[in-house]
Amino acid sequence: MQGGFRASMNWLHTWSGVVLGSLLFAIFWMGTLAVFDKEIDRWMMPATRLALPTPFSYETMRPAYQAALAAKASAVLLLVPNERSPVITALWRSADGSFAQHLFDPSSGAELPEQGTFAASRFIYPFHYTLNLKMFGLGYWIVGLCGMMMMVLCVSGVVIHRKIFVDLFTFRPERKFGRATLDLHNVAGVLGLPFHIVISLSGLVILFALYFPSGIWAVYGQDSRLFGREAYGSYARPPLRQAGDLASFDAMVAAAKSAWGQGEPNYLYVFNPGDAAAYVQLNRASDDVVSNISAVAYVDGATGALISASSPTRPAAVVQRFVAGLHFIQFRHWALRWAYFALGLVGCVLIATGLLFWVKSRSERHRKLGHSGARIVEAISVASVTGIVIATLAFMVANRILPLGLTAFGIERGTIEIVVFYLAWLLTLLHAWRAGARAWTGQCMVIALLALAAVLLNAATTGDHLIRSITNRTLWPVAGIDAGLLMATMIAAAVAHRLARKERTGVVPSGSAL
Amino acid sequence: MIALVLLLAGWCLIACSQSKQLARIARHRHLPAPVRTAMRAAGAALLVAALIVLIRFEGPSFGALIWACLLSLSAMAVAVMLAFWPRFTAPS
Repeated sequence: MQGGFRASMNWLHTWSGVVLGSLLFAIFWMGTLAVFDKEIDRWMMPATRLALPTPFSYETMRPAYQAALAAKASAVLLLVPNERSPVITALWRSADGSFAQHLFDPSSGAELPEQGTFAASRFIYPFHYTLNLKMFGLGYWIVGLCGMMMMVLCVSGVVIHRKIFVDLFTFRPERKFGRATLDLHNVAGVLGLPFHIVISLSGLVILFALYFPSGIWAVYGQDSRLFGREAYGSYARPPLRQAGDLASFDAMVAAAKSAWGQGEPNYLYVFNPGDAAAYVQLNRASDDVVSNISAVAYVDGATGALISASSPTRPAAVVQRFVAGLHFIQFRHWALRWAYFALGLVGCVLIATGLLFWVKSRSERHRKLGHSGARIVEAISVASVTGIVIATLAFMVANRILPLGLTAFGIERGTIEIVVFYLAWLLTLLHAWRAGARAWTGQCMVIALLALAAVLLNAATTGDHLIRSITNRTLWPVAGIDAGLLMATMIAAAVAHRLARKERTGVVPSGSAL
Repeated sequence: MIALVLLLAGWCLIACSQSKQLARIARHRHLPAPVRTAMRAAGAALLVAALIVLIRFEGPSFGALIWACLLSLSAMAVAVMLAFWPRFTAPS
């Protein structure tokens, strides 16, 4: 029975891995990048590489609010600048229902020039949890399914691993390619298991209201607002349809802080702007705690007086916010941020080696039998592993090449960058199909070249080369991205070199698994 | 930093208590069972010590979270070190 159970788990692990591996890699890769989303934003939006003024006056956000009023926005979300994102970000809902993002200088309050990019916060980060498929919320459901399957893969992987403790550290790069790949897969999987499980589970818990709405429906019927009020203390009131002005932002923040005791707000959400019944939701920044939300305060727009303040006190809501906080990493802790990034990369290695092992262990056999299955999977694997890396780098290179304010064929600059991303991705798939097993080498070379090009283009177009960005504290995010790109160049070049040597000689040189 | 060193040392002891891993870095060595048990216990103690250090300096929630992350990362670092050890020490 034990053998039968293990065999069935093996089947489950293999096939769910092959079917969803590509999607899982895309989600893990984008999630890993999203750890440094604000830093990528600074890299892709040079006008926002600003120093945060200390002390920051909340009144500096007034021009952003007035610009939203002039645009007749129905609600305005003002993000307070912080260390990682030193600009005032204003999101307002336009009359046609779409959200527009505008950036303002944190010192003067003046609007910054349109950067013409979706950058990381609006492309890479949403890609992580929706795959940017907005139709019927399909992306959420696909990502949710992948999250479930990731946990299935973790559990079945542990079951089929025969000698989990004896082989805890076993990684033998000198062995044959297949064996070394499997070793690496095991090491990355077993030693990173806590992270893989926690990150998949917390990802699902964040969107619990979408995946398991039945609990909310059963108690609250269709009145999801009542659920929000009871679980998180949200508040709403209709506009009076009389003109009204907004009180001082500093006074509102002071009112909210008196309710919280300590901490600063991370956003001010103005509802019914310009109306006498305007009210503002302030959310306490959770950069000093793991949990994602600690407290919300509502203040009256006209007077700046506190309407209500609450923090989730019921155990379920507290746990949910803590688990969400584990995943969102909005706290200010650089060591942890890097640890998450490294573990995310380990997750990418885990998925990539899993795919690689499947392909390598079958390609010979399939070629002899005349099956095309392994070839198709190999092309898809190459495109989903090295391909998405190339596409991301092409996205960043395009960001530095395209001039600001460019439009072509009626599409704007930000969208052109995304078109470049998908085109590059498609090209890698075509290349992988044409080149077969040699595609890995070629695409690794392309990664090395593109990453290097991105660093050089950043230096050429903004003047913020690595020496300057390292010596200037404000530019450290840029230095970090450039250093990461250079690391990628070196690793990809080393891999390409080893793979090419293997192709020439036909033998696997020692250590080629890395 | 102290915690990271403790974790690395702890994992190294645990790894070297496994004869399969020890064979990679030292040939023809067999450890008696009591030594192995002692090495494992000491290794585990070092891992726990790292948790205590982290909780002391970072607070319970951040400390435990960093410990969990570094536990994985340091174990992988040990695995990679063991993997490439023979090549660096081998006479070329």
